[in-house]
Amino acid sequence: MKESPVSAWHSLLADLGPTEHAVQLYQDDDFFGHAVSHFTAHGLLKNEAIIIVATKPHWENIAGRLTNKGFDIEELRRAGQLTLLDADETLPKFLVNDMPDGRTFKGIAHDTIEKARANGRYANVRWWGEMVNVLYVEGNGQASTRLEEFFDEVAHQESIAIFCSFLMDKFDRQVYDGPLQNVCRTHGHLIPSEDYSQHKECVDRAVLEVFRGMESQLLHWLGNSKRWSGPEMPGSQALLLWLMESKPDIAGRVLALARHWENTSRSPRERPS
Amino acid sequence: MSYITESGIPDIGKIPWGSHFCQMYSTRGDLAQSVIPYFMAGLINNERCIWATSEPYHAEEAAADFKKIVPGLDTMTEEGRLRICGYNEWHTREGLGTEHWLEEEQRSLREGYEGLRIAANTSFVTPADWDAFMQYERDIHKRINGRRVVALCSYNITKIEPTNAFEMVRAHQFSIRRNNGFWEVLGSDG
Repeated sequence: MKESPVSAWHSLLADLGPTEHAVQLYQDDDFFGHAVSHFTAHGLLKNEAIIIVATKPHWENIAGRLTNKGFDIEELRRAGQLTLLDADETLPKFLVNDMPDGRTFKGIAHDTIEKARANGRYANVRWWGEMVNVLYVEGNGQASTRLEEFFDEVAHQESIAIFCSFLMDKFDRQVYDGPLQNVCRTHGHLIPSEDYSQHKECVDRAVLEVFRGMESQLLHWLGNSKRWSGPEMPGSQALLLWLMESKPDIAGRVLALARHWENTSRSPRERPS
Repeated sequence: MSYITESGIPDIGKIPWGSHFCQMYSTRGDLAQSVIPYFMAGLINNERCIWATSEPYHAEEAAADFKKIVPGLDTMTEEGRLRICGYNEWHTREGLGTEHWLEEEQRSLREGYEGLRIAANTSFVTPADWDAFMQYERDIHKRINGRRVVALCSYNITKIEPTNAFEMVRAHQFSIRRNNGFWEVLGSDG
């Protein structure tokens, strides 16, 4: 399991504090597992309680990485520091007509957090879950967003750190038609990519190419981008979101080119099949 | 005490105290034609002025150009009314922090000035230092709000990448750029 170079998201996830709510967009299991195990490992090292709500394949990915980092999964579960819930089994408990029932969900969430605190043995709690992603991948975006809103409320009520992972392509034009904006609305931090430098390089290159000969116009637009607001994220991702909002036709071309440059900059071995 | 002060920059007019704005420049001439009038207005208004220079307009050149227009530059420098220095001199001595600017403001007010006027050319910032520098800019943005400070940050727009330009704009109250020979204000809050 290859670990990527250090990026700003490492320190963000390592130090994610109570009430903070972060999300990663991923397309490959390597980045997914790297980020979740990093978030989990740092919580464990800080003697925080960890709640993981995962599908079975993803739990195997996370557990393998934690074991490689030297953690004894069974011992952590026995000691009560690590709570594991199955995402596919937990979801139906609070879904009514394909929509999450807030009261039932919050009841389950509060009970789980209370147990995880173990009568004060663990002052801080970290929660990573993918039920919102399961709903999104199944095509139920509305339920996914609603559940994310409930999670955000719980994070503030319980003062816990929450980290989510979405199987979402940051250069896909379609995710900018609402899904990504919903993700931004319900999270405080967005991690769009494993490699921020590469993300910036691809976006900058694409923007310069699309605006070739129109540099003055670009500067004029950029100069008026001040009012755009969103969660904390790398500047290159914020630029894409702003561009999509203010110049959607141009943004589509920028996204396509950025993806092209991303694919070009990867070695053939690393390219997704 | 007035809440506004004259920017001195042609086409821009008056700006509120606490303004932290950026300038997109392309040439040395852009800098000379905006930053010198900016400081002249500060001197006329009895403000203490600090100019941290960098390529392509170094301290010696800036001081020489200033001298041609403003008589008594040496006296002003000796009195501490105007300081023109290289970025390395300023940052090496003072560090990259916001606190010393606020201390300079307090010192200026104690000494009877109307406030503190700053300009810094950011061309010395390397790609490796960019994120830290933006954090510093955002910090200044928050901290000088409501203070007797105006700060102009000059960015060479011919060398800046789109993402960095986007971040630069968002770290300031407004931007100015040269358009058809005139300075125009972009992204103003009000």
